[in-house]
Amino acid sequence: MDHVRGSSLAWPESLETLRPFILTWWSGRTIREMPTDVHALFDEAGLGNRHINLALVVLSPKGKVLRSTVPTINPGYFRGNPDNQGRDFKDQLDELFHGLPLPTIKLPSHPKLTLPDICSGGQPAGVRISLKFATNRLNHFRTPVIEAVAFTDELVKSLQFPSKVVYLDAARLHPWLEQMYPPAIMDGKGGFHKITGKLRLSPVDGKESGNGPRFAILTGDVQFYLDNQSRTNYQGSLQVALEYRGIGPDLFALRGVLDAVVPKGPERIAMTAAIESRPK
Amino acid sequence: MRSILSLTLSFVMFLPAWAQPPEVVQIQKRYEAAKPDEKSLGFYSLDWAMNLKDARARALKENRPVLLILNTNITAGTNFFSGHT
Repeated sequence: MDHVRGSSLAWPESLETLRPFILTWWSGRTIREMPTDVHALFDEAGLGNRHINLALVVLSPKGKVLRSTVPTINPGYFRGNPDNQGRDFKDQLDELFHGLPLPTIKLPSHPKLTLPDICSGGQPAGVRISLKFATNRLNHFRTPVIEAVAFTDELVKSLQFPSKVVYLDAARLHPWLEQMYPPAIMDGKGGFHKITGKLRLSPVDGKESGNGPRFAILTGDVQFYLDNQSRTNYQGSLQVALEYRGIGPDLFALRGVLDAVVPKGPERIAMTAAIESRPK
Repeated sequence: MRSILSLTLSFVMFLPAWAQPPEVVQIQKRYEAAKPDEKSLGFYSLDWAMNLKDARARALKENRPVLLILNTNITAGTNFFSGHT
């Protein structure tokens, strides 16, 4: 159910149906983790005795609960057809919103995207990791996963400009690498049993390196071991270009890619991560 | 074609492509290909507030309804907005 974001919600007509609303979300392992204000609405919506993977609650502009639903999915009916998925979810949204007075919101020709980002200052403050996946049997992945990860002192230190080739344990990039997995694959405790590998960080001898920015390249293979019941493991190939300004060793910006093929039951899901420093 | 490529890459690492080592240019090109296209990011074109408090404040000010999405997943940390569910 919780993969609705990547499947049914990717249906353009569902997105248009949601356009009048200000959307927000709460996610957690169980409803017991809900903060007080969210839990109060959960109770007010009459959802208190139900197990939910996903619930939708409509609030009036003054914050009163107007409607709620626990959407259902029907894989048998969908028959792996993304159009069926989209139509079914759209029908449920139409039913939920039927009769409500909704404002008309016109979408600008170039709509602003609100992507996960790093809010703290500094350059770089962190990285944004965008994960794309090849089509899978249940159409889970039509909306990319996007995570923002703040820089830690260890990351900053690990990625300082190398005067010669150095090797890094992949574990030093754990805050990034632990984001490299598809949705709807964790069936245990969540997280990784371990992430291993040796990465090569080498300076690039560019023709501008005397006065201008300096560059380094980080490459290597990473082994991922999910802490799930299936003991899923896979290998990723990482390539990152790093840019350094001024005379100091600290990183200024980076761009990179990780490619992997993740097994899930009988499927092999191709995953590509685009990694970019933020805010620049 | 070459000038278009140079212009594109100059937005990525702040230097025109000709001023960058070829290894760096090659990785930037792979990064550009790996980025999600705008069409796939429709979810993020919706009007998101980062928490319930902000959503309620904006709803009152803009006289608009709020849709609160609640999502649980006992087998893993989950985040409906980022997509790791």
